[in-house]
Amino acid sequence: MEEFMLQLGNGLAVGGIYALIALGYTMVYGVLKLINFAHGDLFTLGSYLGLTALLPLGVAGGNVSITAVALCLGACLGLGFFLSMRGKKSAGQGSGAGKPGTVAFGSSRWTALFGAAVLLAASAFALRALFAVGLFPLVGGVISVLLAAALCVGLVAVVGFLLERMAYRPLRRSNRLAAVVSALGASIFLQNAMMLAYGPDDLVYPGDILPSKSILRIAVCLVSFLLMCALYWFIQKTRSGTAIRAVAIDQDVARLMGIDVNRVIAQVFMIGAALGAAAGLMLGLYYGKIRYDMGLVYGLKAFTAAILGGIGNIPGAMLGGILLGVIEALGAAYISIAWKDAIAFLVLIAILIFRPTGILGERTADKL
Amino acid sequence: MKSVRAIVFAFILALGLCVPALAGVIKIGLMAPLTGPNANEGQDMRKVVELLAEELNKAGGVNGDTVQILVEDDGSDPRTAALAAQRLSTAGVPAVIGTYGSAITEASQGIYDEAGIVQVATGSTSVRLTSKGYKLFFRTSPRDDDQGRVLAATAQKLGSKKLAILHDNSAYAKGLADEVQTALKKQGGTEVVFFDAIKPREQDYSAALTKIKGTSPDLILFTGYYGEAGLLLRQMREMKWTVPMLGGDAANNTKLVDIAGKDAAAGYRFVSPPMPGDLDSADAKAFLAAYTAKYTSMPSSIWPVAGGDAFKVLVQAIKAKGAKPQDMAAYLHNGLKDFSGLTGPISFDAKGDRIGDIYRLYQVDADGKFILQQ
Repeated sequence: MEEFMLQLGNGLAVGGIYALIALGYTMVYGVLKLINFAHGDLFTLGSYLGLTALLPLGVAGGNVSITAVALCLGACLGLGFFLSMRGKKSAGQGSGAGKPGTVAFGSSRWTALFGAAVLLAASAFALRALFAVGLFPLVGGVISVLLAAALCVGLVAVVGFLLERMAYRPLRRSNRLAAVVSALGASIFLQNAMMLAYGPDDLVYPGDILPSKSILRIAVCLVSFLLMCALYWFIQKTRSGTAIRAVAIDQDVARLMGIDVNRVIAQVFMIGAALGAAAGLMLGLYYGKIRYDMGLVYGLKAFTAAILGGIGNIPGAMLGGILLGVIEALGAAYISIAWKDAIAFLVLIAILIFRPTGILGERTADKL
Repeated sequence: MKSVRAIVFAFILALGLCVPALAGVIKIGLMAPLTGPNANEGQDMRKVVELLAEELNKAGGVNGDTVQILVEDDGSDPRTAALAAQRLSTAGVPAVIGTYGSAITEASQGIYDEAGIVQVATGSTSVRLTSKGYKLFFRTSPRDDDQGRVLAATAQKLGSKKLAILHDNSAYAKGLADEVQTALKKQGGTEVVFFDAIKPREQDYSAALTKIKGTSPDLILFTGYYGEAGLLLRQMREMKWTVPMLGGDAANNTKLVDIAGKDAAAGYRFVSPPMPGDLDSADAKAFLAAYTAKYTSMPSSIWPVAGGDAFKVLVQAIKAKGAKPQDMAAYLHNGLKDFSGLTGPISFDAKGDRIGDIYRLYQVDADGKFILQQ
């Protein structure tokens, strides 16, 4: 019994990561009916950028460098960009339909952004100073993780935006196969870019940032769950969420209703990428070792989880991820470690035979 | 000024003397995992071989000919390797160095043999590679069953009564795990209480570890690679489980300590050929100094250096018998005796295996350093 509980815990920890990545797949699929194969690599990028942010901020070494400042600026740009798009959209809706919005580089917003960036950079310096005198290791650790999270999530959201802009938007009206091939191409591009930028070696997170691993383990599950709830609330209860649901139902009609479809889709990609980046950072913190090609395995598993729960369905992605993790752990425990993937996918096939659209059913507009 | 002029003159003269020889370029193929899961080994292998070729050409080449290295990426993938082998086969090379993984080498063996090209593998230790009767195949790495014997003996020397064996289902790690199990069964005294495989390139092995813990072994042998070994050590420590762990030569990489963390890695033992830094011949020391000067770091393991040895024996064969593959192979089989390579003396037996036992036992100390055990 004790072993069973342990294995259940093992499965939940793995499943939490799967679930978080699966959310990104499901978001994009729900709106565009496109499997974003580059999502696994955005996840990897998140853990690489998180490491880049943590190294200068962290305990292990390095100084506050140009990298940290650049990361701060980039993250603020990403965040501000996202906010500005939301703001413009509601403004556009307020002033009436039919006016295609352009992202106005309104001076006040960008001034505020610049201020925020400087503030963040300053706090990074302050943090480093805190460590230099060895004060508050736990508080400092948590702060630097949160800071790194803000940085890498913001930056990866920008990459997600660029990806949509360059690799998917030009193909939106063409054959669906073309978009799939473009997604695969983007995945290979990102993977190789990371290999060339960071080297082919495994990279290792500094081990002394957060003191306790057992807390981290619970944190992984908890953060996944909270992010899922937040996402669900965002989609169901906010104005932007309503726009996303409208675009998911029918892009053309949504456009006629005055929704800027391009902007909404860009938002969806940014949110998906941000969730992936959060998962990447948590994976790095929890397991320590990251690798440029790990997005392949995790992407595949998360994709499976999304299908298992019902693709396009947000609670389904969560359920699918947790379930896949638990099935893997129990399969390893009671049948065979080497066969655990085979067992997990056997269960997947069985479930899909009886429920072809996944456990909670495929996306219909009101479920997303 | 005068001396500079003299040097320039000498250089021009040398160039002039070289002109007839310039026509002669000997191409040697290098097939290495430049991308994929073992890309770091492949990248280092390329650096080693290219630096050796550069040094050789600077010193006048071989028999007056310059050596040119043609590099192909095998991506640690059998299909990619087969394509790479086909490209090299049509490029007019008499010999090919490579490659690292056993399964990858295996995918290319037939192609090179059919094309009549000498192949010297550098990190491929699977036994069956040399039992197929390929006359042109050699390796500068030892064989798994050598290592299996040494590992089984080490487990017994460490006093293990209940051993858990874990591999990663790769041709290399599974072969090694099988060898150890067979050797232990023959000798008796150590019972194998667990034998299974984990999936490489995953992050979470806690499910496997929880299961192994249930069989309460007094020693764990993991025959796979350093990345997984590091994660296993790290996750064992997080489970607060303190059973000692032993590994094979694929664990021989300093990244293991980074991944596991110093506390978790301390006490870990592995059996391996000596590490680049422990090579004590004057040749090796000089070469590694040049390597470090050029690339700012040591090769990360012995296998890229074994790639350098493959290059050296090929050059030696060309020097002795010319660049005809058949003649080179005959020389490597019979003529080459205790050639002083970077990784130690090199001779080959009739099957193309390297002769002699080069394994050592290492232990990780509290600072994360790999200490050679006597």
